[in-house]
Amino acid sequence: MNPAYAIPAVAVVVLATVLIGGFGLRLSRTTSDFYVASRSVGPGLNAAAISGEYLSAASFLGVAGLLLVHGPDMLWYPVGYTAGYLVLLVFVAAPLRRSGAYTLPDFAESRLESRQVRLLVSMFVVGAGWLYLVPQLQGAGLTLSLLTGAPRWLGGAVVAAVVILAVAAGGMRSITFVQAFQYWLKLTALLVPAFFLLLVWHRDGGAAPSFPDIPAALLGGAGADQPLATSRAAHPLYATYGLIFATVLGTMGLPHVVVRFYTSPHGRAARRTTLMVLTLVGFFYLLPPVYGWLGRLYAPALSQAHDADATVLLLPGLMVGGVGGDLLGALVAGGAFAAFLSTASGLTMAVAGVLSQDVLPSRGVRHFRFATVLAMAVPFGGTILVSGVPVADAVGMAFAVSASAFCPLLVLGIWWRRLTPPGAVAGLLLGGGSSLLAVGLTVAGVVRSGWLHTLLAWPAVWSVPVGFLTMVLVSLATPGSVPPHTSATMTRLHLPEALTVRRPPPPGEPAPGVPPARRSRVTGGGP
Amino acid sequence: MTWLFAAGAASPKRSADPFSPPRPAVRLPAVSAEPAPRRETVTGEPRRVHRPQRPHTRWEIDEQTTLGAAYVRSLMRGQLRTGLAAFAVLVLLLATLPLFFGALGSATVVWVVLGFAAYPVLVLLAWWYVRRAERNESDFARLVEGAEHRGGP
Repeated sequence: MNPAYAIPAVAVVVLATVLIGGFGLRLSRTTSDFYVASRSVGPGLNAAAISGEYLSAASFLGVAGLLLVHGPDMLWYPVGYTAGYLVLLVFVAAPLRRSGAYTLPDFAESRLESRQVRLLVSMFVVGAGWLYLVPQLQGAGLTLSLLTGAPRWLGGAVVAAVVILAVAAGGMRSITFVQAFQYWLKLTALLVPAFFLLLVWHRDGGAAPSFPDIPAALLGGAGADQPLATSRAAHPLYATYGLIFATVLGTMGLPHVVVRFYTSPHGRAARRTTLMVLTLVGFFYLLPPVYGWLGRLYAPALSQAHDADATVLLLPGLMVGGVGGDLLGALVAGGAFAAFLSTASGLTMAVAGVLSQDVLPSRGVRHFRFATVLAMAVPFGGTILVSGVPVADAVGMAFAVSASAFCPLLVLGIWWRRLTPPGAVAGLLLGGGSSLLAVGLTVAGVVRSGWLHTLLAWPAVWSVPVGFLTMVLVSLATPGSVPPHTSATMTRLHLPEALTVRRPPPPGEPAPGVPPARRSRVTGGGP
Repeated sequence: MTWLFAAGAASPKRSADPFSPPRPAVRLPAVSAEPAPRRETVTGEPRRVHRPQRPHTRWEIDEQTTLGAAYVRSLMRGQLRTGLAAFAVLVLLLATLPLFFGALGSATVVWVVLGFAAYPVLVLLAWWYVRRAERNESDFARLVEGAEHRGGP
């Protein structure tokens, strides 16, 4: 790849991110603007922003690399990432918006009326966010060192600095613009080169559209540093279901996705936004498999190299060549940086929001800026300390933890009146905690083979049911601790806004609780 | 002078101002969509109790009475049923497809189904759910408002 074209492309993406962030800064005036864009983001803009935030390095680079190495079974990744939004839509989207809370801990506290649950959820949000940030920074390091030969930490440092600038300066409003811009940038960066690559493929006579197998000799080194990939080969069906469980149920709990729903003006808009996200994300995922497939046809040797993740970056240069190939390669490199920047800034926003509300002593915009630096510094330190954890693995683990901890909490909290704070705490600790432990043991390499390894590497299949079951059973065992205002909260979550006579909260106010006058009249749902 | 005139006109007999609406005996709720009550000639014992001016069912829901809770429960049940229907279709597809692919053993089929065909199906399913959920809500709104127009359940 020619750095003379690629470096300016990356620089333009970084500059555009900072400039659009600055444009948002001039628009964000109040605290409410800063945090939730004053709840005035329409479905079109919000859907592009959610998609831009969601499509990370794992989607842009990782999917094609996995397809190249492991074959068409890996197509479950993008399908699961998309189907996760359907589950989010049918169970969570509108009630979550109507809850009026800003973060997952806000939701937990307003639904369960318990500080302990709030703190526990905060810890899981920060943990899952950091787990997800590390591979983004590592992907940036990989891309930049591939382009320029720079040391691995430099790409992560560039992304960290730009994200801190954009988030701390403009907050959510500027991030909304940045993310929406980056969705369209990422789509263009894959769509245009894919068009030319398919033209080349057609000119070459259009080799059979079937999926070519890779010679076994070439596959030898591929799975060496990918522990999850090797366990796939042992129990492929279980691994496939594990992947489906984690991606489909984990999407709803990802902290940077959840935060986005509070910026919709009302529950109906939140639902329509999710439908548009599904369409945009699904459209994007038509493209990475094309790269994976063409990579198998034209560059099977890449699967032997250390970084199959680089397939998308290298393919234009290999297939087109000349100045055209360099230009297309530069476009893809810019898109890849957009992927790191957008996901990293969304995650930083979410983690910093939780940190500034629950960990740091007082609220306010200045503390939020300090929290932003903290939210980015820890995972950046992690990338320097722990190198060589495969990108796709770390992302899959974040999904598994999110599915085990937050999916039961959200689904039961929204639809089940008998959920109690002790039940929620027990479910979070057993479900989320066990998946976190399994992920940690896998990364540490404690168990390296056999069924035990497979079970630990793909924990969602058992840890999600454990989380649900614990929450239900402990809640049923502690019927006396059902929060006193459950009935009022449920009404708020499910009643269409058109039917509520409450006035909207004044700008700058935190999430509206139940007015005190109404609390005395709660009947608790029984006669 | 203007100030004196305005002050003089406004201050002393404000309560007797004939143009201000009559003060109701019962405290009205904050938001009232209906006009002030028309004048009636009372010739005997009132045959029915005076309804609150605020739409009745909405008031029940707002004030968290048992009846209001029952209304919200019915809405929740409807929405949950719609959501579970969409989710069941998804689960059926996700549960059977890996087994089907394993039995078939053809990479091309996996490629076509997961690479292309899955996404339109997901979008269609989501579109169906959004339409049904919005219809549930508008049905519920009509129920609430219809009950108000008929004079409450």
